[in-house]
Amino acid sequence: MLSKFILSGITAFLFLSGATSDPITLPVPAGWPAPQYDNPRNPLTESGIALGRRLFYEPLLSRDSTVSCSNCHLSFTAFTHVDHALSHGINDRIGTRNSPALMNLAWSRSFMWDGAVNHLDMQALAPISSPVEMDFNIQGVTERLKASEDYRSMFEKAFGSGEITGERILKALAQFELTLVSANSRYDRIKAGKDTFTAQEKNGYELFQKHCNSCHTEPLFTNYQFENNGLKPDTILNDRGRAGISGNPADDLKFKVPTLRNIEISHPYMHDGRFKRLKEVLNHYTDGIEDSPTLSPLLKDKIQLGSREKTDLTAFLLTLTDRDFLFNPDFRPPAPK
Amino acid sequence: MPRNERVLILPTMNYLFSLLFCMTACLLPAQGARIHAHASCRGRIVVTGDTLPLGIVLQTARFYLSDFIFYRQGQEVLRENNSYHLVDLEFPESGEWAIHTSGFDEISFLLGTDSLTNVSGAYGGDLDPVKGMYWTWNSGYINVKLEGFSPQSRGRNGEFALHLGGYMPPFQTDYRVQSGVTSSGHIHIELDVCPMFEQTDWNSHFNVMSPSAEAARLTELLGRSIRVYAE
Ligand code: HEC
Ligand code: HEC
Repeated sequence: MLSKFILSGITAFLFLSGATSDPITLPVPAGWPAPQYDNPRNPLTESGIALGRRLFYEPLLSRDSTVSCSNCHLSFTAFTHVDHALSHGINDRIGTRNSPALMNLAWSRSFMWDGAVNHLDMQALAPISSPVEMDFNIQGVTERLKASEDYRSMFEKAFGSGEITGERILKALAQFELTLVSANSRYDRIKAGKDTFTAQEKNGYELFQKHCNSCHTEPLFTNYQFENNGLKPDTILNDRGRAGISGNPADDLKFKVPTLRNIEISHPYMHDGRFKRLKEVLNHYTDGIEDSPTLSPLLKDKIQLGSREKTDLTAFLLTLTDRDFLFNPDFRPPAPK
Repeated sequence: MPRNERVLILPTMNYLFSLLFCMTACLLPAQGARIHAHASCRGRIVVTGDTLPLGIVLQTARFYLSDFIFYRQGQEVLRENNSYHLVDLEFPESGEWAIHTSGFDEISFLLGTDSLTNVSGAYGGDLDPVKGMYWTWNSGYINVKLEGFSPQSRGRNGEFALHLGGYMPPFQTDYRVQSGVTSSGHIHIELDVCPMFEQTDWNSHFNVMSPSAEAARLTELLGRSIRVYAE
């Protein structure tokens, strides 16, 4: 099942955007839904992706040229800020949230823990402008890149002219991020009939389907909804999640359900990085659920899991680790020019 | 050549007349009309830096006009392509553009940007985020940005910043203007900012920075104060 990112009008859009290299279609893994990313004005091209990758690793995007996207999103840890509960940016200022792992972004309907950003193209504006992240602005980034001959030629390759605009910077970053597809874990190979679960993993998988799958839904391991999974609110950060964006009290303490792919690697866990280990996460689901008016009905009844069962469930979660993704050379910093 | 009264410091009346003649004759596309969008207060044109009758000093005043549709006798005759115009009172020429039809008797457009534009990713031109009209912590365009000082504002040194936007219900802030107009060639779109400033809550809403009921209320006040007329 190889459907396409760019469903129609490729030639028309190429004509309009003046892109010089051939459009690329990322394959949709078997059994996956159609991607959500829907900007026909941004067809993927090899040179667009290469430019996006360069920008992702570019410290010039921060005010004092010290922080790039990769500071908080490292390729070999599924693009999360591993071991940092709350990500830190420029001058080591600490943010209020844990950096999420970046993968399968083409399937996301919204971005950030509270869904504040509605389109992948626009996401990069947030870290570039945030005083605790890169503390800069897209106007300044544009001016800096214009001064570089190297960038002018990369923009020309990617977009047909050397003009450097905010639109193009955002589109190129999105192109690179769209290529971060993780779909080759052991779980995937088992589903494709190329491998088999151990008895322990199989038992864990059954427990997962019973207790977790309605939110962390296969095959992407998220239903992309906002849910309250019973975390006790942190009184200092006092993060109300989705309600801060929607203004709707019914969204209080709801956060976007994160994918569990590569979960072994992307610790610490939860929007504020409060748990270091999967064991703590499972203990939360069995014994730590805090009742509140917006708690998901799925978690109102206590989840019963013995320690054997927790071990089995963990064994299943580890089958979601995708080494091809983590060690993909195309995702690492580009060779210096 | 922008039509800006302030640059007409002219030596002779002759020159003035030929210039005026040129503005009607030279700038009009064949078979077309010209839009002149600007802001006013109580009938007086305002630009950035002006002190308004209410004592308000305007430092920044920018707003989007978009989705222009022209009608004749109820039938659509033209829908403008790529119809996004960021009018910035610091650059009066930003409110001036040509349209390639003249046979219309009604015009319709948005103050602001429509919700589809707000959810469709990166755009260039007047919609490029480098224009500073896109929120960064939350998605969506700032449809109207008004900043400056007001003697009534409780903000620091009387500062105020009204960033009006929002594309999701219940706080949608685009406002559709529909108006009959004789197509004489020069169509003026005049946004009177003062009715809104007269009803601004200077005690608690001198800073509006997110989609909210207040943003929607102020945008509606602005939208209702738009007058469309032919020269
Ligand atoms: C200082 C650390 C830091 C830097 C630098 C940073 N990010 Fe992030 N990133 C985060 C945090 C924290 C979040 C979650 C923010 C939230 O939910 O409010 C995040 C969220 C994201 C998301 C949303 C993921 C999702 O599934 O919702 C994307 C995409 C992303 N970042 C890409 C980037 C890009 C591209 C850059 C560079 C332009 C960048 N980040 C720079 C910390 C950082
Ligand atoms: C009602 C929906 C729901 C159910 C059921 C659910 N989760 Fe979650 N899960 C969430 C949400 C929402 C978050 C993010 C919460 C936050 O950070 O505020 C989350 C976060 C997690 C995380 C952390 C992910 C990360 O990247 O930080 C793990 C691990 C996890 N869940 C595992 C499980 C397991 C295992 C089960 C079954 C025992 C389960 N979840 C059941 C909604 C759910």
